Amino acid sequence: MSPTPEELEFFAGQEELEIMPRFDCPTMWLISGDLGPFKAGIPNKVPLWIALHLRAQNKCKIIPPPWLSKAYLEQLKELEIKSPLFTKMPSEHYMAMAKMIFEVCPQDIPDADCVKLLIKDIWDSRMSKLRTAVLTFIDKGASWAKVDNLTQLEMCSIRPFFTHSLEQLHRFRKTIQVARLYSAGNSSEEVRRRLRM
Amino acid sequence: MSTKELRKSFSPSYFALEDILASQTRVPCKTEMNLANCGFLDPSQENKDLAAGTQVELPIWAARVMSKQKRAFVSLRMPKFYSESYREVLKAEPAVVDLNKMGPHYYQSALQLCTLPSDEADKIAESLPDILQKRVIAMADSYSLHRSVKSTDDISNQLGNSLKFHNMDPLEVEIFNNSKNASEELDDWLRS
Repeated sequence: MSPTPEELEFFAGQEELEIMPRFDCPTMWLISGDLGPFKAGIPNKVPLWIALHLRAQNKCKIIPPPWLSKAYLEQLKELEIKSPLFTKMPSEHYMAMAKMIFEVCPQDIPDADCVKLLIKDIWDSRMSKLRTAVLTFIDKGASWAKVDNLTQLEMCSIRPFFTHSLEQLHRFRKTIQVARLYSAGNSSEEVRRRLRM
Repeated sequence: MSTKELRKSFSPSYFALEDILASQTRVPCKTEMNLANCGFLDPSQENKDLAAGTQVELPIWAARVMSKQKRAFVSLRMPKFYSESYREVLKAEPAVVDLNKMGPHYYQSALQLCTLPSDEADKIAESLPDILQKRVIAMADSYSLHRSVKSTDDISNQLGNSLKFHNMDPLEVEIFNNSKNASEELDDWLRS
């Protein structure tokens, strides 16, 4: 089973983010942990989903994470395009986080349009890299693959295809070996059982 | 909207429908001895018994039982779609062959054929991974290319080298549909 994009968006909502509250509030006791105390004008760390919730009610200002800036992303894009491998992303949920923040408050991010475009560029370049990588992998006859620095959401795009293809290929290859044993005269219980699969 | 059900890869089991259906593939057999009361196996003759040397086609599950090494009632050949000549065609250009026509469950039947006593069994088994590998690659781009496309046929007109949807084995259809659903889900999410 693989997580859907919506589920991953939910996970991205757990990431911590700094906000600048515009209200006073004592500590909130929540199941997932304590929040606050909030004091107007003093930055505080909260999970993304709470930050966006407060922002929608105009109760805070979101301080974008350091990687969500034009300068950083430009550098990252450069690296990503140059490197044949996947570069490490600043956050496991960069795409989902960026998308969620842009949905609620693009005005809190400096150079919002530019940043949005950069994120999209990075995403596209990684996706095309991923696609060629997948095809080479299957073409080379590998039955397993190691992919570093891929984020969950990116895996979503290849998951059923890549994993199911490799799995079926692996199943066939296993059968060859057993069929060889079988035709060599080994008809033990074990071999017969495995051939049935 | 796309469905949210768990996507599982096919793996055969006693109760797997595909596996049962695949065992229906018919194998040409020749009887080695007189089989009493087995005349019904060959509908074209009216005798109650089946004489030695008669050609009959048995499904894989029956052929397996009848051809056990210790008590071989029948000797068998591989079905024609798994013969040397068809294997050569598949080896040369796997992506254009109509596997759906060649036996609705080509792969799964082939795996079951490997359990039959035949010299060709491991050659058949050997040919399978290469075929699937090439065909999966041919399928790879088509599922995400265009979401309005209902089948690969429309795209293959443009691309030329894709795997045609109606040529796919059920196994490939499953991989294709799963991949297409997932890629649409991701698209939907990115656009929402």
